Amino acid sequence: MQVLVAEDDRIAAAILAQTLRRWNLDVTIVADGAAAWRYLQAVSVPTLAILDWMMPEVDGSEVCRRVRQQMPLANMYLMLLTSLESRSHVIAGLEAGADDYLVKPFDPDELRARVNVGLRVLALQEKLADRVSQLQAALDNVKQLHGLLPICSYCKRIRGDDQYWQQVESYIADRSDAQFSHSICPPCYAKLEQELDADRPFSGTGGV
Amino acid sequence: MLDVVRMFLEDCPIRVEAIRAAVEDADAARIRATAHTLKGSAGYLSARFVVDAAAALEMMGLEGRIAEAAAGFERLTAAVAQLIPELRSWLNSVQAD
Repeated sequence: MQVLVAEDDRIAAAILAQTLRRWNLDVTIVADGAAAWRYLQAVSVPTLAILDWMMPEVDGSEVCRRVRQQMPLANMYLMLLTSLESRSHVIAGLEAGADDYLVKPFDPDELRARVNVGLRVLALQEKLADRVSQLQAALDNVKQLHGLLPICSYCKRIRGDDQYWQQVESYIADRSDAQFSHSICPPCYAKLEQELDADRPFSGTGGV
Repeated sequence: MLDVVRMFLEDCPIRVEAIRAAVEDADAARIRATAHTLKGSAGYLSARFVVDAAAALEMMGLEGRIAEAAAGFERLTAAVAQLIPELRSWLNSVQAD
C-alpha cells in the first residue's frame, strides 16, 4: 500500500518512514504541503497520507481541505500529524477533511493501530468501487434494452442503431446475458401442422 | 535511533539560531513556528526539558507575549546546552561498541 509522509522536520519524517517501512508499506516522503498536494493530485492508487499540520507553504489541514473539495471521489485516507493537542485543533482538522489524527511524538503501537484502520478503510472503498463499476456495466446492458424499438410488423426483426435489421433473439442476445433455446409453441405447432397437411398431395387418404 | 540522534545534533544548532533570530526580530509567528519544529524533533528523543522550553516559547509566539520571549529563549538554550553533550556522549558510546 502507498503511504505519503508530508513532514518538514526530517527527524520526524525519518522516524515515521522507518516505522512504516518495517510494516512493508511503500513510503514516499515530501517536506512541505505544496509537494504533498502535487503528489496527491498525481497519484492514481489508494493512498494513505500522513500530513504534518504545520508545514511550509501549505499546511496539513489545507491539504485535507483541497483533497476533499477538489477530489471528492479519490480513495485517500488522510491522517493529520500534530503536536497541537488542543481539542479545537483536532476538531478543525477533522472538519477540514482529515479521517484521523495523531499527536507528536507518536507512539508506534498507536500509529500502527491507526494506520491499520486507514488501510482497512482504503481496502473497503476499493472493493466498493469495484462493485459499483460492475453494477454500472450491468446497468449499461439493461439500458440498451430500454427505449423505443423499431420492429417489423411482419417478420418481427428489430432495427438496430446501425440500421441493420436483426432477428429478435440475436438483438436481445447482443444486448444482455439472455440466451435462447428454440422450440415451437402449441398454437404455432397446430398452424404448421395444418399447413403441412394442406401441402400433402394425398391428404386425408392415409398416404404420407 | 543512531541516525535520528545524528540528525538532531546537526539540525539543533540551526533550529536554535532560527529561534534566536525570530526572538530578536520580535516576530511572534516565527517564534511560534521555529519553536514548534524544535519541540517536535526533541519530542522523539524524549528530551523533556527542551520540549517544555520550546513548547513555552511556542505558546508565547501564539499568544503574542513577545516581552517574555527573551527569557523563554534563555531557558531553551540552557536546556539544549544540557542535552547536546548527553547525546554526543551516548552517540560515542554506541559507536565505540
